[in-house]
Amino acid sequence: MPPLFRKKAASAPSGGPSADEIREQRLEDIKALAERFTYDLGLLIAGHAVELEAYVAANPAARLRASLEPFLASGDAMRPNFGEYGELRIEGNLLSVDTPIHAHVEFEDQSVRETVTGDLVPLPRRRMLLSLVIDPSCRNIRDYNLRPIQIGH
Amino acid sequence: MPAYSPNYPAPPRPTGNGSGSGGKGGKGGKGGKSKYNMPKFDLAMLKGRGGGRSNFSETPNRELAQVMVERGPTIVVMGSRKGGVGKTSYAAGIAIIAGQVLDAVGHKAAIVDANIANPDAWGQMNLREGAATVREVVAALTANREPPPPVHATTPALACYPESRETTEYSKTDIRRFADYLRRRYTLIVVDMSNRLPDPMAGPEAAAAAYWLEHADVLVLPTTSSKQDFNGVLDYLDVRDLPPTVVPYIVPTVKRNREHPVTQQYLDVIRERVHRIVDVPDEADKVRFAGMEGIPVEQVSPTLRAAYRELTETIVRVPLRARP
Repeated sequence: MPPLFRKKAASAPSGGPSADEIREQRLEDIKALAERFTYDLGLLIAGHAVELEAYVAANPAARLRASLEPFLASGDAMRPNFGEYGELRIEGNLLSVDTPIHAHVEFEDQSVRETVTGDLVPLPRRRMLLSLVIDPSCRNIRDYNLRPIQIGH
Repeated sequence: MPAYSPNYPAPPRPTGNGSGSGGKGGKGGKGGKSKYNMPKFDLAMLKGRGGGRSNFSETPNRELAQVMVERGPTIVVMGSRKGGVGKTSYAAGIAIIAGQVLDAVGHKAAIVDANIANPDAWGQMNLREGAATVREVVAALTANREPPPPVHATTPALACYPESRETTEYSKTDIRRFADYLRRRYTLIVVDMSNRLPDPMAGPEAAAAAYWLEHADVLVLPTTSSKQDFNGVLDYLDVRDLPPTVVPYIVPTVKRNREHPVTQQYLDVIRERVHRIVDVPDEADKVRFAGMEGIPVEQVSPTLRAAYRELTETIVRVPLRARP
């Protein structure tokens, strides 16, 4: 987040972007961040190298890698498919420079498991909820949580 | 193996201001629920994931056969300083794939067991007892007689020359005569050599390896990720006047071993000295089981077959060295 932009967001001086413009910009940033994370999540479960630490705090990034390592070490991997559309819900004060913002992406996981022998094993579809705690700068993810949810949640 | 289940420890619950969902970008900074385009994953790209698989895409059989035919007869020798690296399995896999590919254009491949100390192509190829051996063919060539016809395995386009268990040694002339004979008949010849560093003065097995290397167009040096095997490859690469070399590398399943700095250092050093390293999935147990069950080695698994196919394609695209 450029310091200049943060200052404007806080003070909204005359001649600068309006509160609505700042809010719109931050929404775009949050969407981009959520998309980047979901994409990298797909790459990770597919066994690819990802520079998660570039925008995710060290602890949650390590936790994500550690949780996937036993699965990938087996030689199996996922062919990620998170469906066509998800639902994004954002909570927080988009004009605040102090409080984190929460973004929740709900999507249908339709990924297929590829075994070490190359066999494809379809798994039951399930609804997932990815919750992100986003830095007020809207450039970094402080934490995440990913869990299956009941239909109609 | 349980299904993929992201069982991530939950982070601290959000401590936001408790504002609920509102309209998108609603006043007061409350976020909203909106339709969200999920990222798309390119499946072709994802084939190149870690764990030993590559972005290799197969050349159609007929096209690959054309490459092999235009290149002319090619002798591929399989070498190793020590056993247990899968040399014979690779030899069988390459030969079977080459035979299948060449069959489409009326050409043939051959596999030769030059492992005179421990002839073992029999087990990999499931050949019938009594097949004409290298010893018999060499004897016929020496006597200027028509050699006995070879036995064929898997496809009529793959001729097999198993070794006799009574063979003790070959002269340089024996090998030259046999190599010339093979070149006249086959488009790709795979020679499975003994587990010895080639040296004309170090006994019959090492001498045979040295003689075959003089006729080889490509050397294949398989390795696993063990230090001994890596050092075996490096020792072999110190031999003078080697042909272009391809190294099939059995990639460890465990990430920690796969990405270990020592493993990477060895691979970097080897990579600088060879034409190419081809990653092969670690399916040694399945290969052993296939051997016991009589299953052709290339049918062990789709991934292993793909690796053998990639290895074969790599070999037949290696630039030929100039011959005197």
